[in-house]
Amino acid sequence: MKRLSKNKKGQLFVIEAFIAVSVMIIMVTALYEVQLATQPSVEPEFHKDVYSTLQALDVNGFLDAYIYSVVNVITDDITYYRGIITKALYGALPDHGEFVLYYEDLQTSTEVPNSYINELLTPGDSVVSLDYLITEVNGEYAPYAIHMLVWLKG
Amino acid sequence: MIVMTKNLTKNKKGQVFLLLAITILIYLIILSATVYRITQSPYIDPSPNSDQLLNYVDNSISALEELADVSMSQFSLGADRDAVLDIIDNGISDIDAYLDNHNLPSNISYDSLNLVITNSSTSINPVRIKFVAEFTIHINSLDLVYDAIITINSSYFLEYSSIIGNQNYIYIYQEKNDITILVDEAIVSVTPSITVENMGDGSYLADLDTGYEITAVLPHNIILTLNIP
Repeated sequence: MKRLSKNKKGQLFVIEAFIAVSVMIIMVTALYEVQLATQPSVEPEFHKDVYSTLQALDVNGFLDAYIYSVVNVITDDITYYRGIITKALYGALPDHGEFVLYYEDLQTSTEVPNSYINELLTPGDSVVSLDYLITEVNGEYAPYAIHMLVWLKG
Repeated sequence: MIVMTKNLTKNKKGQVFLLLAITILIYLIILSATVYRITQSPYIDPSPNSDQLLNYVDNSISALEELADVSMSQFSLGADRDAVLDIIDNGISDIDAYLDNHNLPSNISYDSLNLVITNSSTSINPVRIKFVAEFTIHINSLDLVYDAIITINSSYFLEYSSIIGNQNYIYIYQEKNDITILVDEAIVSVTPSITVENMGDGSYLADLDTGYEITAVLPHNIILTLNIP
């Protein structure tokens, strides 16, 4: 070691070794950082299934039938359509999935108070927010945005 | 340089030094290549929620299709062409705003002159209501660039069969983008009042006669009326 530090070649060797080690450390650190930064999003992938379910509910007229019954306070229909929507959405979610859903009247920019499904549930930590637009209710122009919060319990 | 290289290769220290230098160089190259490959992987800087953005685009198309149903419903209830164009304009404006709110600045347009909304004669079998329009969607956001021309060609029609026994069948069809299906959820009534049986397959059984009027309330509150001459 003493001989290395005494002659010029040795000094050059030591300097190069230091530089090489430093560069390697920097590169390994960079690699680690990049790996962390490039982790796939932890956001669950179930939003595709939830969206498809909303689409199916819309095509079959359940989304507008529900808001029609809510706005016109048709109690039996509210229960019936709420049941169908709830069942369909839970079917699209994993077993420990939960959701809150409500309608926003886009003409007045206000929430439709009785449109809530699962209103009392408290959303978890990692919440996925989904929106769905409908423009027709029972043949009338009635734009509503359906807002959904979806999360996994535990 | 040549002298230095010769000296290096001749003595043992030099050989070790050279070997070490080459090894370190190879390590560095491998490491650099790995870092480069990872930074080029699709996970780096992904478009935020690109699937969700596409869902919103998809949703805007379904909302346009619903405008066709609103138009046919209102037209069948007596609204004129101008009223239908107002509905379409309002709808497009709301869909635009909806996309904007999801970071998808959009421009949706259509040629009102080419929009078709017609109701056929109520005394010719079959009776039909029809909507045709072409919408251009242009979205230009940082996350998504989308251009499409969406043609919505939708119609409903009602026809009655010639007499089978002493009963007639009334059929209700929906035709959408060249696909025809039977509509089994209509509420069909006849004036003067007679029994109409929904067969559950898109056909409705009734004992029709000359001068009778058939009225069908279809999904989306679209009304078709046919007078039997």
